[in-house]
Amino acid sequence: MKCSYACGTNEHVVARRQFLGGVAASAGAVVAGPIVGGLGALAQPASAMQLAKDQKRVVVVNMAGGLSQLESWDPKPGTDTGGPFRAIPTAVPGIHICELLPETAKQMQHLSLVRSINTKENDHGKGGYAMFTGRRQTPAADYPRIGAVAAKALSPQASSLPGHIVITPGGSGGRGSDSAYLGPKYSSISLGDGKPPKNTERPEAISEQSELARQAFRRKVNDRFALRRRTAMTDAYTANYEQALELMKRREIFDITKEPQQDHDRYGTHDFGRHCLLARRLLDSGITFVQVTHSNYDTHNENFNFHIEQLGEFDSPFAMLVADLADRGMLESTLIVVMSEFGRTPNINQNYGRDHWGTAWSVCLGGAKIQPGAVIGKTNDNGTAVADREVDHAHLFHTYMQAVGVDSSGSFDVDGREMPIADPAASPISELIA
Amino acid sequence: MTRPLPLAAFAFACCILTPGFARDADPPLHTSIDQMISEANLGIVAPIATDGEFLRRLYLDLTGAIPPSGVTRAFLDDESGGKRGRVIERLLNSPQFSRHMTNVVDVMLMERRAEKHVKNVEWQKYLYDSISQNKPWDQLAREILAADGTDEKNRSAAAFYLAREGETNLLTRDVGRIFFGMDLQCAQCHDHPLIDTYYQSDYYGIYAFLNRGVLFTDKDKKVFYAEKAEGHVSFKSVFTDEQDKTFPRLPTAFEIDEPFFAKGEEYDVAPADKVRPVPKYSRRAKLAELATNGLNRQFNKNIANRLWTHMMGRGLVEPVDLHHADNPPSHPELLELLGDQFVAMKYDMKAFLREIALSATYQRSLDASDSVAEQATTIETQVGSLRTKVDGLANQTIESAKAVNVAQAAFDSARDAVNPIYDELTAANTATGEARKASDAAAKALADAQVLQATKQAALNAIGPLAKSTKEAADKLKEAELTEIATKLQARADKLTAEVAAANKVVTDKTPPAQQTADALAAAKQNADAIKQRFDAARAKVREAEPQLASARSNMRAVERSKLLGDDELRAAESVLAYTYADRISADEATVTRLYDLMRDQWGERFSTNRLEHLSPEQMAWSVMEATGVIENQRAAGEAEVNKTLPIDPEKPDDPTRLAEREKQIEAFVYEKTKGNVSAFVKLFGHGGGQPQRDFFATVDQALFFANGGTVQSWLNPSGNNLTARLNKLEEPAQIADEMYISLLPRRPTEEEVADVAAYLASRPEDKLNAIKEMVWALLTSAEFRFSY
Repeated sequence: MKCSYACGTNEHVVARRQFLGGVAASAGAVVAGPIVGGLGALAQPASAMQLAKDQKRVVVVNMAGGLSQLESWDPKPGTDTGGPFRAIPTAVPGIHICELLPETAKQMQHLSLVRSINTKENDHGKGGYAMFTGRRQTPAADYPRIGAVAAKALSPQASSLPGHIVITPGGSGGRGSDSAYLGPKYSSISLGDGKPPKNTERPEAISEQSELARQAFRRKVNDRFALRRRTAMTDAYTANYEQALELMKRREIFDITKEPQQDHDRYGTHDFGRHCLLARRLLDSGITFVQVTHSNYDTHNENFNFHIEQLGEFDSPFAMLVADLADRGMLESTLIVVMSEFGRTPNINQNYGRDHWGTAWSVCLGGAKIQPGAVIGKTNDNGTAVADREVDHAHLFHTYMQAVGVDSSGSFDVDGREMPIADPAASPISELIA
Repeated sequence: MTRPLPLAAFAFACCILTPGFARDADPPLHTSIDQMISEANLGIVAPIATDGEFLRRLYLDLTGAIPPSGVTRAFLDDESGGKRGRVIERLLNSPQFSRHMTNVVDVMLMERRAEKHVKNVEWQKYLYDSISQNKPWDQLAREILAADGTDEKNRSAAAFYLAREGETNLLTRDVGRIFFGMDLQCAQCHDHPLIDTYYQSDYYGIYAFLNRGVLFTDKDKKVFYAEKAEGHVSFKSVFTDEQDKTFPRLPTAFEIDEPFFAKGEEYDVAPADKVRPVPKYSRRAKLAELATNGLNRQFNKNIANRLWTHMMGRGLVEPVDLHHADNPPSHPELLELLGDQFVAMKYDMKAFLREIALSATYQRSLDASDSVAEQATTIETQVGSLRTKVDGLANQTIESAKAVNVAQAAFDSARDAVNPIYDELTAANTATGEARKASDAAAKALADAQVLQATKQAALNAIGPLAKSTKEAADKLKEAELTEIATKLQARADKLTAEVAAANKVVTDKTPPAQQTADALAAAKQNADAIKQRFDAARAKVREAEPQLASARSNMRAVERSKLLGDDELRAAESVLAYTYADRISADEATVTRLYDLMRDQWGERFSTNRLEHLSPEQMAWSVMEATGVIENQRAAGEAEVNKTLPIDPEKPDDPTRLAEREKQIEAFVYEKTKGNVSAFVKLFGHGGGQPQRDFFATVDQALFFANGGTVQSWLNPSGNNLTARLNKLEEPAQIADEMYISLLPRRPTEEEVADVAAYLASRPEDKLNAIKEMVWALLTSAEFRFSY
């Protein structure tokens, strides 16, 4: 009587047989060694297997408010919608981008463009939700953001470092709530203004001797209890304190002042420059996912002046980040994505602004398994519609995951419930995957 | 010890077995629980837990925190009989119980959603007041499910709907999950692909109770969950394109019959701009009534299972929101009994929790006895007969499925006849609405004409005689001026005469249409009534087919359930055998340990031993505050405060009412002073809003909070009579160890542990206070503190 058809939603529940099987497997794992992440983490054989030999990483630059594709990745100079700027050649023959991005143009050999996005979504919240989760927002279900998915799929099990960092002005060092059913372990830690994660410094009142002594006593107490009962949960909890100590030792990775002065000079002293440098430092240190936000592109008024200003700030640090990752040999393992919640209207309004536009816009991405120097899809002559290879947020989400070696058609096993990693109704842009 | 697995007992367990059981000897529920659990045991049963372990478990479950050190000490030293029963009773009647259960019910219903339209503190106060007065679950659920936010006294009850913004799909899912234990989310777009017994029509059955709900904001910006009288539910499978409609239907029940209102007569208050509609018939009120009237067994089993889970750490059905045929309860008869008994107890949560706490099953130790090998021989013979049984059941499964198909076909054909008639009825009722509009318009036109005619006639009546008499006067006097007036008057009178004639004609013209449209309306209603009769007849046929289908389905589920339980039991027995064989042949240690763990998990699932579970964020917060003495200090302050307003009566120092009221006020004082500390723990140890809250997880920020955070560090500083202050005053290492372990874990330390403490202190002779703080910290952060067992 079982239905054999596949379903497009994520909540499908594994029958109890499989659920019990998962628990049994975890009981076996207890003996194998310390497990971190609790029962949820135990139930992820798919991602554990996919864990690449070299750790894959992701950096997302969120162009908050909605970057204009016409002033960036898909210029249409000389048309009724094109605006005042020229298109310039890039390091890749045949690819032209807007003249506001001269430094980025020089790094185009590392990057690719998708110019045929139609998300059919013109609302900031819903558009951002779609782009960051790969699903449309529905009131009855919540989906994890890309950072949580990447952290769960890619972070080494035993890492003491948080896997999901969001750098944002005013970031408090605290935990966000963006991991939905993947659980708080994969929620973001927000960083900004130079503050490291909360409570990573030992209080002055506790001497080094005290710290060593209390930790030793804690271990002794735990070892004694483990003789009586040891489970995946007790292991995860006790290992957690060891990881905290590790993280405290490595606290410097959040300290941007440890970067050489010349890099500070190169990246600039404004928020976005410093945040790009911090992103580089975090990726360098083995953090799985870093998101940097550049705000604000919601240019209903004075679109052109604002883009001169904003992209003037964006261009150089971003290009530097790409070049530095390439120089350090990290590009092969690091996916870079520059995205927004949507693009901006081809139509220029009476305030010289452009409005919300999810119908035909672009994303820039590169690194990891992304084919470099490629352009996917195109819009028509004045950018008012997608002319070829239409894709949406779901295809892009699949593509990001495939690019870092995750089988995006697979599922997470969350406490016995199978949660598809990406929208099962969509597929990756396969020609973009090298 | 032969496990019965009686097939006949499973079939129709609901109707036959359970009342029979209750009638036989009417043993107290806790005895029945123990009997049913022990019948299903597979050799291994853990002994009863020690006093310390029992007390900690009970305090955590009933008050949400570990016991105060004084209580622990007194309990351990108490050698009189019946002390466990007494402490259960005391805790059930403590203000801390109300506080804790408020939190448990709050998290169960709201899953830490952000407040919307009703403040969280108000919702929590509503729950606290309800639980303090031991409001029965059916009443609480009824208030919540029927709420629209208009009842001033119980407005907060609407928080369940309002926090979800009245969104029908979200509410359908959460009503299904939380009140019926069935997560039907996947059946929204098609029959559930993995769960045979979750149908798309189940989803839309609940949906139909809720889809008429609308958020309504009044002029003071207050938001209500209003209801309309329109909204039919039809749905279509995205896979098979099959379409259907449904009337409201509770999970595991059939569609309900509803009162019929002619179009235009369905509201007490009709919807209009800025007007909150009030239908004559509320589907939501019906939902509340039908869920809680005691007859929906799924509703009863869901809450019984959830309360059981609260106490035992694991549900009879697990996960608690996936009751279905392929996920049968570990002890089906017990779950039926619990559901029925909870109803028989009039949904009294306190009484129900008392019975669970009194059971030996609840009081079992975490550790199993060591006599596993002895059990192997009995189990070997069991495994053989179990295998035969399971194979036999596989055949029965096929037969029972065939019977369902037959009954389903009969039911479907009866039901298929309903939909076309319902469409006719809907069309006829729309026609009634149109006819009513026409009739109302014609009646109004006639009334307008009549008013006009009457007005003109009255004017003519006044002016006619005047014109006549003026003319007579003018004729006599021959005055030009007067003659002119007379002529004018006559002209006006003539005009009015013509107007009256015209108005008369309009009245005559408008009379037949008014009559005709009124007749048409009556005919339309009559037509609708006639269709309604055919509709009722068709529905009656459906209702006739329902029992056969229900019985065939229940039979099939019973067979399937027996099969699955047989599988489970077989697996459990085999795990015992695997372990004993490995032990016998002296397999390597890792294998033995792995097999032992596997076997131990099986015992835990069968409630033969207790299980290790993590504390909730709130349990963690209150336990840390209790252990470190934060609560103790606030309690002293609270007592001083209450002594001013409600001192102990020197005449009657034992007056129980007064003492209880004092306790309540002191608890409220302590709660208000300390509740602010809880949110940090919820943030760190709790799941996100709207997510299920039970799964364990460990994140580094939790450990960092304990290791370096200011909150915990400040609680370790001596202050008043808190833990480190008490410990610092003690001289003997053994005394220090004793007070430390009793306060934190809470049990007496072993000799080894006393030696550890002594050695630690001896290594820091000049630094006693810090040494104490460090050891307290280590115990606070230990796994033994973090988990309940």
